Amino acid sequence: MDLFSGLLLGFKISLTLVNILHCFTGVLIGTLVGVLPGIGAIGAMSLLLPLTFGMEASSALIMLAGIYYGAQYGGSTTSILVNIPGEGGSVITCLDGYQMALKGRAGAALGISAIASFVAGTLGVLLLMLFSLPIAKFALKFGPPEIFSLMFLGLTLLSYLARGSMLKALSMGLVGILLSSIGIDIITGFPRFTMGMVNLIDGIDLVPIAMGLFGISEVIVNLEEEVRREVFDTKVKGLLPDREERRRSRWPILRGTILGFFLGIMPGGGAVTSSIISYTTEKKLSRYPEKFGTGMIEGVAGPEAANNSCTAGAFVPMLTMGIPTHVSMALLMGAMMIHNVVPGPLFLKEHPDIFWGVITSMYIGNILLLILNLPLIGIWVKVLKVPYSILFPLILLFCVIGAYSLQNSVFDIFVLIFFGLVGYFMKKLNYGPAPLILAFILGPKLEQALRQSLLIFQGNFAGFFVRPICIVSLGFALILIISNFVPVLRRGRLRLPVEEPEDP
Amino acid sequence: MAISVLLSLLAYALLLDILGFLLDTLLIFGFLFASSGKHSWKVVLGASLITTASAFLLFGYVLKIPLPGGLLHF
Repeated sequence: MDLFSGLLLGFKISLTLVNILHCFTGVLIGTLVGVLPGIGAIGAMSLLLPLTFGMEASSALIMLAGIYYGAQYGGSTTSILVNIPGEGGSVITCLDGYQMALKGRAGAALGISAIASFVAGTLGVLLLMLFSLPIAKFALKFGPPEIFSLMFLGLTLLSYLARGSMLKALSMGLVGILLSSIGIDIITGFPRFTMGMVNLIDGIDLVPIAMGLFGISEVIVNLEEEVRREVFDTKVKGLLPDREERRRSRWPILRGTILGFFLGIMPGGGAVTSSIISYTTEKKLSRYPEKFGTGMIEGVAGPEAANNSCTAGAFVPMLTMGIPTHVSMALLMGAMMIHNVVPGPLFLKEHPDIFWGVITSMYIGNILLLILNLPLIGIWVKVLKVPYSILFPLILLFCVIGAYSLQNSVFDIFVLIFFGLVGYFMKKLNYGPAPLILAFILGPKLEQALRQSLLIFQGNFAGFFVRPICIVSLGFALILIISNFVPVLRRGRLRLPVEEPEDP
Repeated sequence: MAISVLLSLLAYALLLDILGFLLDTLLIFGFLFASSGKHSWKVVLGASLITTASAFLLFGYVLKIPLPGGLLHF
């Protein structure tokens, strides 16, 4: 299936009224969620996950994907107007964006961030298309041993790049795998960790855990510290950047797009990382680096482009190899598995319609977002003024009903509350929830790959060490783990701020 | 305050099958809106009613999720 016919197939699916509506709903909710501090894209995706059960697989994915990149757009709005980032990826935009607003150039800042996001999103999808095909074909040569090794490496890499202690991140990953093993063993049929409870026979569902860890715990943390928001009240006039500003933004946007895309492919590289690296790059390349932080438009255009194209980049490993490099991708993968679509090397072959449908819907989504953001800014500002004391019960209600609706069972609500509590303590003790959720979703696949590999090798682990891809992946993972314990290597550890969903 | 929120969620879950969706949601919502202490009882009552009604319509009719009726079969 070559590029052109793929695109045709994709647009045939995404340009139906139903899917346009789903895309629109997704980006609308995404922008809304991105504007509101306290709930992020991941929270919204987990909230809406149960509601997608009745939908077609492609429609569900289109909507969920729309939420994610829509939230990136929304986050920029609050960063510029209120100096409060609505999303992790928009933190950097506060630096120069808010300064521009103070100087009366709020409109230009908002305008350029919408344009940068649009260009980056569109180009990113193009790159995604170009890269996915060859990678998917290469991934077809993967067998269970390779899949296991790559997933193992992915989890290890995520722990390595995570903020804070690597040991904590790794242990959270292990907890995730443990949690995923609750239920009936697929191969032998024996119940594991069910502790005699009927409700646990099928294992714990992803949704209550995700909503608890990200949604409920976020609400509780927010309730503890009262967030005071002063909304920038002057009128936003002149929504378009002038010619000079457009000219200055051209290269930052291009650089941001490429940076963001490749960072998105890596595990742990997310909107936060991409935007920060783009900002640093622009500052270094600028003729007036000292002016950054006072309202330089390059400092808005570059990061905004980066945090959008990294979404496209993150899709690559997920869609082609079934390896999520980021929690949001893991959630999308969870959604796909719920709809009985298995992401991985065979995904492109078996479901080209879903693959191309989602990719082409991203083009449509970017256009919709451009249309939505420029005129609707006034409305978003009003939304920002809703007091949190009214907002949080609504968020909680959504979580609770979402959890309940899975199996019509109150037990799932208890799971939700339990993990809300767990998530709260995790935040307090500086344990990241991302490795846990990723490991929870990958757990069953990881285990299955391992057992299949051992079946192939007849129980002999040495089989892993004669396959080149496995050697490289497992070796690299081993080095990363050991580096934590060898003081010399530990000091040199690369510390990238990973997108932690609990960002304000 | 965070603890009272958690406890109220727990209460919601426990009471759901007894009171049914409408009553339970109304009660807990009222409690949650009022817990911040920033709004008059009129606002709290109004907001709870509106939210419960819209939630019932949204989840029950638009999304067609079966909602518990409680002992009185509400």
